[in-house]
Amino acid sequence: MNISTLTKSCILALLVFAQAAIAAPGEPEIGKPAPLFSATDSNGKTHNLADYRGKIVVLEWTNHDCPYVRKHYGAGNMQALQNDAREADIVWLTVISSAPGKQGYVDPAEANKLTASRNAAPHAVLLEPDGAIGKAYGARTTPHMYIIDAEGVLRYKGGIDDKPTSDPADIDGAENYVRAALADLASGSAVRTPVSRPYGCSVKYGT
Amino acid sequence: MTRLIINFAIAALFAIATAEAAAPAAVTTGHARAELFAEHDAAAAGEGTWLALRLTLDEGWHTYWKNPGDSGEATRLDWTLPEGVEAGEIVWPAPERIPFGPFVNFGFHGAPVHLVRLDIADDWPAGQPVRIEVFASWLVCEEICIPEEARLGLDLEVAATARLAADPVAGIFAAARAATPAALALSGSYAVADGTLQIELAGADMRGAAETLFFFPDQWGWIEPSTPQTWAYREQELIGRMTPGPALPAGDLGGVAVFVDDRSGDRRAVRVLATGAGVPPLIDSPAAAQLGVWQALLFAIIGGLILNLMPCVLPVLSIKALSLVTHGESRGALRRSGLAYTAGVLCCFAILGVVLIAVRSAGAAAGWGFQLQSPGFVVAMSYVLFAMALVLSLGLDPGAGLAGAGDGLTRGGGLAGTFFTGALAAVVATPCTAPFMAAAIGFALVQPAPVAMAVMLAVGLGLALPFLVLTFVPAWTRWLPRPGAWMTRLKQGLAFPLYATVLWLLWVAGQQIGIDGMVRVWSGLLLLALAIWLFSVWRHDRGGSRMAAIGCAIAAVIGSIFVAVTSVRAPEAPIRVADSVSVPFAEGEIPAIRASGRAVFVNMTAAWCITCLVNERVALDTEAVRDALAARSIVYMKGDWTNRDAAISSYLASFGRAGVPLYVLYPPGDGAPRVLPQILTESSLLDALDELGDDGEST
Repeated sequence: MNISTLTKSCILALLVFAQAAIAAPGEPEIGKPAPLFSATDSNGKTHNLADYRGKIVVLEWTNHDCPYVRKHYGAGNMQALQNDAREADIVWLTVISSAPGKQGYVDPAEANKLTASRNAAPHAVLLEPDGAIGKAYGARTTPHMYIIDAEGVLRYKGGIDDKPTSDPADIDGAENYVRAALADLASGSAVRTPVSRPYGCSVKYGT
Repeated sequence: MTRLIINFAIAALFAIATAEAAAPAAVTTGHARAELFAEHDAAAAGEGTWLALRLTLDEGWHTYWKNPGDSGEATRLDWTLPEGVEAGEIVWPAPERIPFGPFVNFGFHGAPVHLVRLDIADDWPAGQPVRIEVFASWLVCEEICIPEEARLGLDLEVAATARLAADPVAGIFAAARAATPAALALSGSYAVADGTLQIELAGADMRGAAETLFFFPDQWGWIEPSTPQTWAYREQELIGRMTPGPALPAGDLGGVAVFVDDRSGDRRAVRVLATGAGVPPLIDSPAAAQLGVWQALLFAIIGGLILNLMPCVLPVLSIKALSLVTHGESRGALRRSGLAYTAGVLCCFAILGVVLIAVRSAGAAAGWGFQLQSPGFVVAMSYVLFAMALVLSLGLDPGAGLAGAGDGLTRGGGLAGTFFTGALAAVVATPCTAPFMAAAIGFALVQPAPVAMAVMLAVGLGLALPFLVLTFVPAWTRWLPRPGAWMTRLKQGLAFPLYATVLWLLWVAGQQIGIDGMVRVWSGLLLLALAIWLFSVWRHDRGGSRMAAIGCAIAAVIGSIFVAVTSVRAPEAPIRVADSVSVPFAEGEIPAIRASGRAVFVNMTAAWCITCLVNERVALDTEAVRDALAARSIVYMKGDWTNRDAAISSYLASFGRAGVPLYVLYPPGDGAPRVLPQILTESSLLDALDELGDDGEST
């Protein structure tokens, strides 16, 4: 072993170490690669975030019994966004992180029934009762929205709009941050509001 | 007359009808009872009054503060008032932290009262009541959340002279005022550096309450609600460190500090205002205050140099120095070996730096020697050093491959061996805090990552420097004696400081994992000794017996590792040596003791800190010092940092220190505390105590 290989291996070891140390804690940052995940949807199909490279991905945390979710589904607001996304070839993934026995937990059949009864149009409904993806993203509320660009970089995280209430009357006149961010991405400009306050019920993680 | 009566009757009916249509002053919803109160039975125009909305919540349910934290929604009040009457913003009670799963919300249990100022115009006619209506909406949560709302109203009489309401209404207002944060009591500045938000505040003295303090910012996104906060006093300033949120403002940072009053035990709250400082914060102390980056680097190098003389490092280093004498290598080879050793030391310090920075950014309290707070590390160190000591005692061939993993690496010959000697020197150096270095590392811990790393590397450079210089200036090696039989003796002799170090490490492990755990470690060392002996006896054999010996040796090594691992896994309540002179460290008690006219001496120590133990032997535990402490009735507090302790870490940080020892002498009353040097002698300590006496009399 000579000096240069020694130095190189030392630097390499340090880099690996530093990477592990930096990647370990915290939630994803805007402008950084979004955490990769793989999850099973309500039809038993596996979805890998990495497979959607090249497309914009929207993540929507939900809990159908949460009044804030009901506000946006009851008024058709969430479905309208989902339909717009579908037309623009954007992958919309609805995520349910409620633990078994907690509010919002559904089995695959119930999830599909909810999608049908609410005329929802997500690309898929991901069921992750262990909450691993939710915790990796720091998902706090239902709804809590994330937008990942075609390169896999996180571009938006936060609430669906700027009116943090459960009153459907507040949807009109609210600034919809998700719609605005998708428009910004479509026009190739920077997302004007990349972070906002997520509002709603807390995600019902298991312990 | 009849007509008059009919008119009156119609008017009366109308009044009753409108009164019934009007909202009541109390409404019961699914999980709350909402009530509206006015502080005055009759308010005076121009003076106005206060209104209170009380939400009496079902047990276990909560509503939210104006900043609800990670989720939730603040209670809202929409007022319907006649012209000339105006309602102000909600004056909120002090919030509480409400953890839910991995997140934390800010809100209220019980019966929060929301106070609102009501202004009535000067020209409001006396005798005409004010109709007050409010639409209140709130989110009430237990496990699940339910939005609730109520329309409430009351008629407020307006008279020439105001008349306050009697109990129970008066009591509701009094209790509500007591529950709101006291007017601005702490102000200062804040800054963000290296992923940490640091707030420095001055004002109300909350010494003793700092540990229990939690800062609730006025708005979402200013801090991460679920991450821990550390608060500690640095002289007159209260310093808080926490994780900034995604929407930290550039201007003022307002909020509420909630803490437990250490004297009354009551929960109290005060308003806080910090302005953006724009400069990176720096924890300074008498030692670290004047340190610039270059000075810190210089101190770090000097500290590293001194480390070479510490009992834990000296044997490792001497073995390496001896190889210079024996091998008589070419100048080029010498230089390469010097560089390899330096690379080993620096690599190890760089890893230490990365870990330290990572641990710090994760919010945990860390400091110099922190790895010795892990029993696993202590046990592993004792194995490595014991194996080295045995190899020295038995006079084994340095080229031996199997003689213990750590030793195999360090004595493996060539540059790799030299590299790992450097790494080992760095690792064993960590328990020994040298003077100069403490201030430098304390400085490094509050600096941005690149500066912190530079300081860590400078300590490493200082440690590596003597050997590096020897290899680069071979003329100096001529001062070393010629090789001879003395070298074997010296090597055997050098085993003994190593044995002593092992003894000490096992004592530290004993403090951490108890006597049974320590015996397991001893058993592991016994197996390790067996393995090394087996190897040394039969290593020259050929064939079956050799394989058998190696097999047995490997089995013994595996057994020893197994024993070591299980010993670490079986922690027991740590055994603490009873000490009749000192009392356990309790920062909260210091102000009260000083107020009673007694001085306080604080000794921050750890079982693995040799400097601390030496100081205790030579200076602190002497009869003269004990007598001096007793004569002046000084309270001697001892903080044990052997295992992780957040309170002690934050106390150390408040003096700009990242490690032990730390000696602080507080005079009676409120004079500034004095930090004593890290190396104590009996006479210096007695002098310090004497000066204290003089100060006490003169002030």
